[in-house]
Amino acid sequence: MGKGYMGKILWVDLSTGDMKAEEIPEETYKRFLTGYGLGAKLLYDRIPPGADPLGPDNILGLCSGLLTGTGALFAGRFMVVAKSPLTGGWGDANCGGNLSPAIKQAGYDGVFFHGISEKPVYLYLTDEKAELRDAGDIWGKDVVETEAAIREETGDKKAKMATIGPASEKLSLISGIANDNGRYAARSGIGAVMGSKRLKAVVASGRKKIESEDSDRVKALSKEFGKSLNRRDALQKILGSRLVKTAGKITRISPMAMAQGGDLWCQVLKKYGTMGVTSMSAESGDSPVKNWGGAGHLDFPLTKATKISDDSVIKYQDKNYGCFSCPVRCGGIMKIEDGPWPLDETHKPEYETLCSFGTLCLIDDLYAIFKLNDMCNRSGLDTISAGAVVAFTIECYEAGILTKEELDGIEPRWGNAEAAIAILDKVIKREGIGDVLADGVKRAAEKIGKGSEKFAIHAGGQELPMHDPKFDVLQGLAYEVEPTPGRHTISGYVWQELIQLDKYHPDAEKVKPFMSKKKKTSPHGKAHNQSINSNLMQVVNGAGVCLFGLACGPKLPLFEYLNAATGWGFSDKQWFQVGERIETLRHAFNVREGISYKDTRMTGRAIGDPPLEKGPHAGFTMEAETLAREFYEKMGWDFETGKPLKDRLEDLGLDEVVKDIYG
Amino acid sequence: MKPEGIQVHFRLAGFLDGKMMTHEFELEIPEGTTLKKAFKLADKSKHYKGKLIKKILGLPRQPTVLLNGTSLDVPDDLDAELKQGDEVSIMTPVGGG
Repeated sequence: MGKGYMGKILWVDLSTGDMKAEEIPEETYKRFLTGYGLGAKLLYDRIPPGADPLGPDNILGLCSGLLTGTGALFAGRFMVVAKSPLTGGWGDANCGGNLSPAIKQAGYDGVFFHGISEKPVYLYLTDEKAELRDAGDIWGKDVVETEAAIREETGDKKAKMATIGPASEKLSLISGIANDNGRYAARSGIGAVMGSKRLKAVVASGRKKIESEDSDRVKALSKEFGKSLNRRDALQKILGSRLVKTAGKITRISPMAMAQGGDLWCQVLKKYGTMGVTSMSAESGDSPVKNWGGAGHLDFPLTKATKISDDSVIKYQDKNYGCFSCPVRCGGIMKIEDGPWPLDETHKPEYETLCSFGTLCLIDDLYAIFKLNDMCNRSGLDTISAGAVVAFTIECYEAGILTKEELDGIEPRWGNAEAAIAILDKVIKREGIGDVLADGVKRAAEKIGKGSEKFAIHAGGQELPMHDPKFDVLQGLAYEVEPTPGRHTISGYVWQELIQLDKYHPDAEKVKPFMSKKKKTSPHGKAHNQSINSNLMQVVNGAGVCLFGLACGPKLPLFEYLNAATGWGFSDKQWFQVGERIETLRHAFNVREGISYKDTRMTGRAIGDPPLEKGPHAGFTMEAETLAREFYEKMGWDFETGKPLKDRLEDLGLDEVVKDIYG
Repeated sequence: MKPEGIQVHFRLAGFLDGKMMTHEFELEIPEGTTLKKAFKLADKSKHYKGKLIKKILGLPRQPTVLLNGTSLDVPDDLDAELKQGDEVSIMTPVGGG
């Protein structure tokens, strides 16, 4: 009988070609789970401080989640870890698709690479053997071509694979790692780490059984949770918004809430995917507009935004699909037969992509965004960062900082789709100005100078996602204080309300759906829930669970699943301690690299410094530092140095960190 | 004497009844009409079917209401009186992505 995990990892030394399986003690799983947690433990112990992120000492890990393949719903994400070349600190990214179970079916909880291969290779991993194969012929191919070529070479139709495209090969620091022909673990510059190791792909194929301590209990939990999702769906279909409206009133007057916002969000996901809410995001102030300097109702009003959202997009969907063990199926494959850039088969653009190229660059040409999305997916670029780079370039050109000559003859202006495509092409190829832009806006501004720094919107070097901190200050707080700065998949008011955080932790304050602007934007009293949420998310990522599993329907039985799979019988409090341990270790990785809060702050415009003159956030400046101070205090981290307090580290059993910091 | 009418521009967007909807239209209302009253008049108008604004305001999560691009507290700020040429945006709760 198993415990959800496989009990070992594969170590691959790409410099020598040596590979060995390493058994992981149960105690390590109990303390760190798998996913980001196991990755944090191994990388903290084995990457020397100050290591070059693109050098042989960096370690790239691709991990499955503890619940993946156990029968738990929403547990199909794989997690990538490495020291980030983009931020210089802890790096991670994760993605759905079908790779995560394949890693476990090959017999491992993760595969870790160090060293640098002399020539391009890919790893072919089955439950019988691990083999490094020559990738010389496929080096230079995009991820779709790569997957097809490897499938043909191996003859393995069922293999799942993580691949990189040409942008990662050229070490673009805004590149990621794909699976399923274009779904991305995109952030932290982890594609460049894989490229630096000359590792073109990781191919996994196996039939090992993934066993749980109590698989009947896991199944029962899934059945119950799945039923509750379907039951809500059926009610919604019968009653439409009348149910929601009635439930809304009840929610506000009674603790016996019948429905939650998650039901609405789940419906949007099922019908459209994440892009369903794009149309109103600019006007409401959720998504940034015109490189964070505009106002939605003036610069990108509904008449424009509806062209790149919901029904305008979904009509090009050929079929929808779901990631492994997901009942929501928010993914889509598109077929674009008309317009100037026909595409035979391409992934549906996500909300983030439609905003980063749409609202941020003021492009309302959907065909162009399909094309830009496809270019990123094939080449390996992170669409959030790529859109930010294009917006930065447009603003530099409009302000006279970059000239037509410096831009290789391109004249990028707000809303000019053709110019955006031309710029992106340069970035992918690292040609001319593209070489300057391919490492993200922070480094580009450092090279360009002339005041361009104020147009480079980032936190700690990572371009910000498409949720404005001024709309949701808790998103902004996460952008600054999480070990991976500039990430939207951790927290926010909307998020805490959607998942009903208080259902997971008895001490979490219930997030009220209705709140005044003043209370919502106040910097005080937010750290308590935020720290609880941060720790919860580490359990989620260690389990390989999709965030949308928490945001859809009633409470996801996360801890119940974990106890059924492992048999550990942890209390909720113990699970939260596991989460805090992982969060603190990721943070300690940054402290050891000399990174503190001053290095991960958002650039001015993102927090409203100077404040915008028009739009929903006019006149507002987020008190980011106050928020961050309270969060650090709650987590037991010294605000000036970032160092976790000794007592707290000892409580968490992080003796290795105590030794590093306190001797 | 009947008060003189003013023109107000409305934009509605959001997920209702299982689908996304957007409506943009001009509405003539009496001068001095509050937002709250204007919402009722819009819901009775010919520009869409059903009481969409009432539905949006009744949802279990906070909608976004903007007056000339400035976000308002709901329901506290809905007593504001509208003026000629005002622009009102009403959106269902947003999130995720």
